[in-house]
Amino acid sequence: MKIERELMRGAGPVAVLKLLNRREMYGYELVETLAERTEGALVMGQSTLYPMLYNLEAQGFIESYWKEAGAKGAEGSRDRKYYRLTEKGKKRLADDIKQWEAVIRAMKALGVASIAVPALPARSNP
Amino acid sequence: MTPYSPKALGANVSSAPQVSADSLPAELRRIIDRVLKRSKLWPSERADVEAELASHFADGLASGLSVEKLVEDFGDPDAASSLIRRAKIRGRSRTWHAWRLARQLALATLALVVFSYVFVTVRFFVGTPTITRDIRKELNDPIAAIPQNKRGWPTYKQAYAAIVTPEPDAAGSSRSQANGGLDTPEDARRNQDAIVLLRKAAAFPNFGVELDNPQDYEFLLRHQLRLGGKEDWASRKIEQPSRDGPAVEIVLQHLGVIRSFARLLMQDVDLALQAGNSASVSEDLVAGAQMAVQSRESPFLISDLVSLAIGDLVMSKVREVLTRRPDLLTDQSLRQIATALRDIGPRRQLVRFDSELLSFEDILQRSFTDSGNGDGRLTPAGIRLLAQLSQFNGEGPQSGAGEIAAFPVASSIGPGRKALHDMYVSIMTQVKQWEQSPRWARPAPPDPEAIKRGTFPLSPYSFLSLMMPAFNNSVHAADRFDASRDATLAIIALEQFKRAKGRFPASLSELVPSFLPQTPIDIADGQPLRYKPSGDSYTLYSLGANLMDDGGKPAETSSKESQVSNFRPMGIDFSKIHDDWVFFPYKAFPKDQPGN
Repeated sequence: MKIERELMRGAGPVAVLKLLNRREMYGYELVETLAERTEGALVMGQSTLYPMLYNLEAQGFIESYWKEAGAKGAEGSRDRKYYRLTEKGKKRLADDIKQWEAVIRAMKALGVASIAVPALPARSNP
Repeated sequence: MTPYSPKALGANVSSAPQVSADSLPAELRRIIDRVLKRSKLWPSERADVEAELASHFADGLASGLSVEKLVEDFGDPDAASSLIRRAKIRGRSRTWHAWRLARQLALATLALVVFSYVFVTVRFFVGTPTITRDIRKELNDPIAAIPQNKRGWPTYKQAYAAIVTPEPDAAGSSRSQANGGLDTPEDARRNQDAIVLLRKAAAFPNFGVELDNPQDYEFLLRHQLRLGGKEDWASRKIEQPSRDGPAVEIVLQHLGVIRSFARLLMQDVDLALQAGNSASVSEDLVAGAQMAVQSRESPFLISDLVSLAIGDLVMSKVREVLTRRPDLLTDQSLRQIATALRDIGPRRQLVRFDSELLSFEDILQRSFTDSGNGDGRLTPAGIRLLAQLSQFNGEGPQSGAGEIAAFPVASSIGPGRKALHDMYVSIMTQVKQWEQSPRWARPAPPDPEAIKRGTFPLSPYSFLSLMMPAFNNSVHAADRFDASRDATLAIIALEQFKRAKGRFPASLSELVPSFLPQTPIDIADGQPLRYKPSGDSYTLYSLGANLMDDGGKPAETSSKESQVSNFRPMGIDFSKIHDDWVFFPYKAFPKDQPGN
């Protein structure tokens, strides 16, 4: 199930921050991971993802750097822009998580969200 | 597509990747191009985004996704470009944001200024004055009410038509100044018929010259042409002036004519004096004084000033006659002359400013809109009138493009109709209070020029400076006239005293109350006029401008320093001026002294 645009606007940043809290990622990887880990619920096109990343970067929650993927100079090697969480981003993530938990509790209390929400499974870096 | 330059130029460009979108399928390149084109980023930002999107598509293709799928997953490129631009701008430096804010504020201010200017300009140009009062008629109504049988004007016209000029000289030239030319004894000798008519006209209680009369205008103009030697004076086409304009444009030709008549009469006095013709001397002097009374009929300040000038002329001639032939005038003539001089009016009414206020109100109603409560704003018609008045006065606004562009602003930020009216009334109230003080104790006059100096030169304040009467000079003229009249009446009284007592009095106080109601005052210091009897004659004088008693010694030259209009002006060394104003015995005064 896809999330409505307005809901995505609130959920997208915290989801991205959460992913980057575990390890640094590049844009395509973030899209893929979000789609995979949320069973397609948080599918993001580039037209949404990259503006979101640039906004988070502008606010100082994440930072970026370019890195060559693959063996340097090898055929198929390519530069990718990686993003990682800053200290400020970590604090923001902690705050966001608390808020989302509060929202979920409230929704449960109202009977809007009746299922248990499993924690995100841990994944190792590729 | 241009290969991405690795050089990082702006904020948040972390390193120098070498990524080219050239190898991507055309559909994907088009998306990147569209996003970059519409986002309008800095080159460094643009390169960063281009490289990242190209990398993203390359990853997608490497993952086995089709071009179509990647295009579909990308979403709306236009929305993306907008969001990317917003995000990138957010990431720019504080300095840039401060500059951007300043620029936006400047642009907003500029827009506000432009909008305001357009607004005030439109508002200015749609404004039109509403003329609700016929001020010309208000001024003329009292004159129009004068019965025909009390008007001297028809007889004056006969006299004017009877004036003859000398034949052109050998060079063929004739008199160049028709009104100013009646100033020699020969003119008087040649115009005895006209002089008889003038005496008759002056005996009427009223002048009776109606304002804006086209027949009078043509009559006077034709005879000016005739006296100027123009052969076609009777047939030349006469163009009438507009009578729709403000009251200040009313043509007062008759004032110049009556002044020239007064000069002609005084020339006739000289003839009669030489001939020992007491009756003619008396009749001419009385007629001259009555002309001074009549010329005050039209309620303009200029009429009063002409009246004072005629009165000064007559009084000077009275003193001359009493100096040269004290026995010539009969007792009755002396009484008639004294009465006629007193009839010119009491001191406080010698110069009147009431009609000036009417004229100012006329200017206001022709220049400002009418809000219905006495207020209004300046209109283009007002600017035209202001320019017209300025040309007339030789000052005021120029017609440069910048000044024209400033008129709407001046109209909006300058004082409105009511404010100007109130200022005018306030200044004139100060003038009246100031004028009440005795001349010798009078402080510096109110200074309406300060208003003009302190404001924008094109502002509606210009109306004030242009329309404010020259009250300082006018009041001074009245003071001089009054001083000269007091002295002349004292001289007549001294002659009457001598005829009654066989001697001159020891002091002026002896004249009171039988010959004078009160002792004449020296306007220089408020003390009695200086009187020094000496056998069969005496000296009567004022201290003059230097406030020092020079023993009745008149100024020998008409120096610039003696031409003072105030008694204590700045920057004049009075110790060098010997200028007692000597009223008797008569001597041709320097022109700046009282009575001349």
